[in-house]
Amino acid sequence: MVKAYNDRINAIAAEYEARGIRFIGINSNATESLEWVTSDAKEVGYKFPVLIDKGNVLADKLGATVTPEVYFVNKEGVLLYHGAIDNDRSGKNIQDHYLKTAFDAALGGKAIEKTRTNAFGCTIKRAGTAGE
Amino acid sequence: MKRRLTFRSIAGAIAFGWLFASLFAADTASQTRSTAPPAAAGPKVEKIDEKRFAELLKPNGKPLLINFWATWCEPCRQEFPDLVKIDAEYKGKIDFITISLDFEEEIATTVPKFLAEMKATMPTFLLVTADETAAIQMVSKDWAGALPFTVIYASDGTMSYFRQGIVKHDVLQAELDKLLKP
Repeated sequence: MVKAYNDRINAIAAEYEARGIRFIGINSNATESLEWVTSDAKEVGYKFPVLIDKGNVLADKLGATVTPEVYFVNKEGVLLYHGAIDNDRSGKNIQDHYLKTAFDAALGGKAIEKTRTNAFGCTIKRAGTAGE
Repeated sequence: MKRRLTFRSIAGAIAFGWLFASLFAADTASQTRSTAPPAAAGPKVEKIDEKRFAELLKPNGKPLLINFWATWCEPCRQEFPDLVKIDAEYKGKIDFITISLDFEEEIATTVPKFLAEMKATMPTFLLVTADETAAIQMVSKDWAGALPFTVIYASDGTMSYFRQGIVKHDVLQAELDKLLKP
């Protein structure tokens, strides 16, 4: 599953950065150190910068809860799409390319039909949380 | 959609977040294999679609506890021993099922292997659906799909408790006892 997402997101980043959309990867997991995230990002070969969200500040501001979870904003800071990359985590039978469809609509000046989706993923490991 | 974000650092860009690092941090149980491994010993896991999933969300005369998890989710694995304890303590008093979100090819291998290691006996299902958004919304509009997720339904079908993230044994006990007191 991990490999499927890596290849997909790198491919999407390569395709759409060429069309003017910037990509940033953000790690909000309190359990993962800067050293680990750095070496992991190098090993995977992400095609975009990866930032650490210390203290979950950005995750809290945006209400992010699951990994991966994408936010597509325009240059005015308006949220255009939020949610899953596509409808098939395994990558084997993708029928709905949510993120790419949102990009294409925005780049074409059209309204994005699906502005919010969900997918199962691991919870963001926030600082100071425990089972309740 | 006109929700406005005030920070400038990502104006004109994608905030692409909450990513792969946690997927990497998860155990390697879900690595793709080039050949089909033999089926693991352990409880039989039943594959379900969204229709069967909807049926499983309805209590059948007793309070219903459902835990959503996956072997690639480290917090899910951490809380599992407490869930097995709860299952033993409330056997016959509640219905308790787990729903795995592992990939379909793990249904006869990684998933039952993990359940056997945990000595888990509660019925486990593996959900395969092309519309995870709809499945997640069936459970709760407040859930974004993050695992682990635990929900308790009273016997009349009302949701009495939910928790996104690791759930504690004593908290679950208290919530279940509320529903079971005469």
